[in-house]
Amino acid sequence: MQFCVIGLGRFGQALAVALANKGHEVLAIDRDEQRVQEIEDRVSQTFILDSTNEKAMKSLGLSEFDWVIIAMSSDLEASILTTMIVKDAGAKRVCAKAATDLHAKILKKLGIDKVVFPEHEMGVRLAEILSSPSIFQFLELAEDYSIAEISSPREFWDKTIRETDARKRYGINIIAIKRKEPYTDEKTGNIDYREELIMAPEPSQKILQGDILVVLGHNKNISKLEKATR
Amino acid sequence: MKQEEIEHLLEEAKFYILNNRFEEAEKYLEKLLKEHPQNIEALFYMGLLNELLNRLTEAREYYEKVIELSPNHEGALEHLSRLQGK
Repeated sequence: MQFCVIGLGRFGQALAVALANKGHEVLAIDRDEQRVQEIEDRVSQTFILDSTNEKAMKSLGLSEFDWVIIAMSSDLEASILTTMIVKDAGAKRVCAKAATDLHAKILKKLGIDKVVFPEHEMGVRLAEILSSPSIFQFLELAEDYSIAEISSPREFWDKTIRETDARKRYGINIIAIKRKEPYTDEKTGNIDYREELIMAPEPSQKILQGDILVVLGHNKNISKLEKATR
Repeated sequence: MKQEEIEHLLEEAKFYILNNRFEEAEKYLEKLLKEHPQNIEALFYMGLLNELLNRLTEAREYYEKVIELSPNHEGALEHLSRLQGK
């Protein structure tokens, strides 16, 4: 696929390089020469360009890209102007990063296909992880729905997924199990463990002590399950 | 507690850990540590079973205790570095 990333701060740089590493064609743009130089060897093409310069921007052929990503957010005016120019240039799909709620609202009004709010999203995720010692990962999927990694509650131990009745009782789906398998290290004689991932487990799969359940569900239900682990 | 009994408790604990019965193992180790709070092997396995039960703060504390008593304990050093960032 073809991507154009505008604004090469930490977020934009990480995004551009990650896309290029996945084998996509990436054009990266910033008005700051040093920022452009920092990643020029790692993406397909770079330009030093002020994205609020309409004429220059329209010469880029933005309608050819699958996604145009406006990755700068600290300068509200530049972000909005760039968004309008990009939309006007016929970009197929546009994604933009917002710094505040108001910024996000304006971007949505401008007809952006996807608004991301990384500081906000990361903050929510971190709050979930830090406020509960038995939640190890938290990924918000849609409003109110998430995937969480959660230590298996005692009441599930030695039961099959069917027997736990997790879907009815907690309203969650167990989509994977992370299990630690203890073994004796023959060299040292000590016990160690290896980690195993059981993807899309069958209803007959047994849950053991120490299993980490990867669950999908409404945030309210995830937090209900989390309470059961205490 | 006689050496024989210490070894027996450790063997029982290891047996239960290997069979994913971490809470049962914990009982044997607690019994041992009550009388021998500085038994390095028991402290290490307490760290391990807490790690296996996803109680990472407690696991770290046990490994740190092991390293305090035996600064070159390879297992505790390795597990502690594995837990860093988790």
